[in-house]
Amino acid sequence: MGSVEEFTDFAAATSPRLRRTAFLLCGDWHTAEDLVQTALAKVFVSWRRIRDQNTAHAYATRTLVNTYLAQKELKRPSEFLTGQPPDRPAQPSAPETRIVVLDALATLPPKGRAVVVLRYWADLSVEQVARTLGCSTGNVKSQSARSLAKLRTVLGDVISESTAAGRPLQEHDTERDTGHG
Amino acid sequence: MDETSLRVLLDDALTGEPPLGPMTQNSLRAGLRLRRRRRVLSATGGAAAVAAAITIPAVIGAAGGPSPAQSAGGKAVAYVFGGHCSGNRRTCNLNSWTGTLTPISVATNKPGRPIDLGTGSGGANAVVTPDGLTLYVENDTSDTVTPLSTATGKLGKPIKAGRYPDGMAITPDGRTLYVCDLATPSVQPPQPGRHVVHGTVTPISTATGTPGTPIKVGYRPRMILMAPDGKTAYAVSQGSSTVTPISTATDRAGKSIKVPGDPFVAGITPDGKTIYTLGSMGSGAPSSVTPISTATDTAGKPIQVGSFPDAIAFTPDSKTAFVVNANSGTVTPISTATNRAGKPIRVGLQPQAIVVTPNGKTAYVISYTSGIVTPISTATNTPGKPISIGKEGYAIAVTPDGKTVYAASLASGTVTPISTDTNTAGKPINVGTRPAVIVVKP
Repeated sequence: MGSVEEFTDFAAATSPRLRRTAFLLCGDWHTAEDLVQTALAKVFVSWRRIRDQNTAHAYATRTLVNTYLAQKELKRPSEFLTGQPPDRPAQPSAPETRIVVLDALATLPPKGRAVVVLRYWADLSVEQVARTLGCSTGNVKSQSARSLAKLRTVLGDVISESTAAGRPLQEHDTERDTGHG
Repeated sequence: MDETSLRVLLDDALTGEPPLGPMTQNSLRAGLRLRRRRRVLSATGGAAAVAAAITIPAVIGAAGGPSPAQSAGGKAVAYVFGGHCSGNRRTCNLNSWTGTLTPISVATNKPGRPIDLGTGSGGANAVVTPDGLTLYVENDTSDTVTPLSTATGKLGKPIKAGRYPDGMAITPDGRTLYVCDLATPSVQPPQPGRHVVHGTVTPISTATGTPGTPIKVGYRPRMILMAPDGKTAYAVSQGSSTVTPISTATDRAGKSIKVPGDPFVAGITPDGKTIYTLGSMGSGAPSSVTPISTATDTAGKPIQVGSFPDAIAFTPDSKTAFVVNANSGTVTPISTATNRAGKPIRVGLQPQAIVVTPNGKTAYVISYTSGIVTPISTATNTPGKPISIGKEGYAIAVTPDGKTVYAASLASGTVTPISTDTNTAGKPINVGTRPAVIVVKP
């Protein structure tokens, strides 16, 4: 069947990026994989009405984020939101940036986290984020501002710490900036 | 911390990414399971459009006065399509899905014995011949269309119809059945900038049950609209955003008409003068309806409607079009004379399908999330008291005499008859399976 072949091509092309988005949302590669699988399965159900790759990708992202948010909603009672990163066993004195960032992201409420990932990692515009999350652009802007402020407080110390511990963040930034153009 | 450094930090968080597992295959498997189990019953599925679309021929047939159908075909019967898994629900896939067709006597509202469409059958799209004697059931697993005798309830020999049959329409004389083939002759990976140039429509002679030469139309034809005079069939192609007229006398395609957005659903006025295409998820016109004059085969200016227009119906006098906006929970009335949209009419959450009674007085809209049917007075365009019909409202149909509206609830597996005189629900009729489509035989 044509639609199955088309979907397989689409899923293969799009799943690496979707999995990264999912990972930044949930912080765990296994859960990320599950999220992508669930989202892609839902996309397949509606595959016949989705026309082009861009529409399909936007739809897949929306489904992914909504699946993540729905799961968060279900799990809320057993999870605690804290202002502090959770304890990590046997952490080296200079924690990897990776862990620090994930811990910082974990302090954000699910929707705020989704806004940060979509806007600053997936490079979606405010309008696109609003459409993805099904909320107003004003809401996206206020969520971004609040989440950034929070990340700044949580990450602020860590950044200086990790820089002091020999991680030349500024230089690294510059490198990446030129890479991005 | 500025945005750039945040971006870099987020990239850093991705270090140590493990290799990809068999995600594509797993999601495909899960998707097939979902698709079969829910049979496009998710709010964004295809059967909603089908449900709205296929009831139109029956309604039109009845609206024009007593048709020969009513005498030839006997008593009116509502056919309800559903299905179940023959195996374990969790492992349900294409091969273990069994489609069923439950006939309901319109006179008594009693269900008859379900007709088994066979294991591995799709059966979510069907048309009835104008004489009411035959029902053609689409089957997208085996890529065939199967005739069913409404007199005996027996299935005929399956007819090969392209590689992925989708929308169907039959000429008013009942001689030719047109079937969209959603699969394309040369399927390419869907990459931006690479487009497959055309799709096909297969004409099938109902007398001999043989498919003719496929007719080239736009890419990914989803739906066929039949002009009331039967002279032209219009193939609505979602992939190329076109509407292609086909002469039913010669089975030749005319020049395609370009429309904005990606037309997934379309409707033709009962007088055959105007076609309305509904643009949905496409980037061009996400929430608009485009009129096409059939006299000149030209598209007019898009008309702004609510979010995600998903179904359309007309009053029998062709004066008003009602567009169902799935995401807004509203119905937009459009005057066909001026092509101006009126004030949106609030209905339930996630409205799916709409029918207008043959006398044109009331439109009935079914809503998925709210599980209600909202009657709308077409004289005043105001909604009446909603009628509860069970969770996951999906398909809706009206009987040719206009006395009863049938509303299907996927979750309850029931079809609720609604008296159009009193707008009250009768006892729900249990059809066992998840009813996705209702076709009424005159």
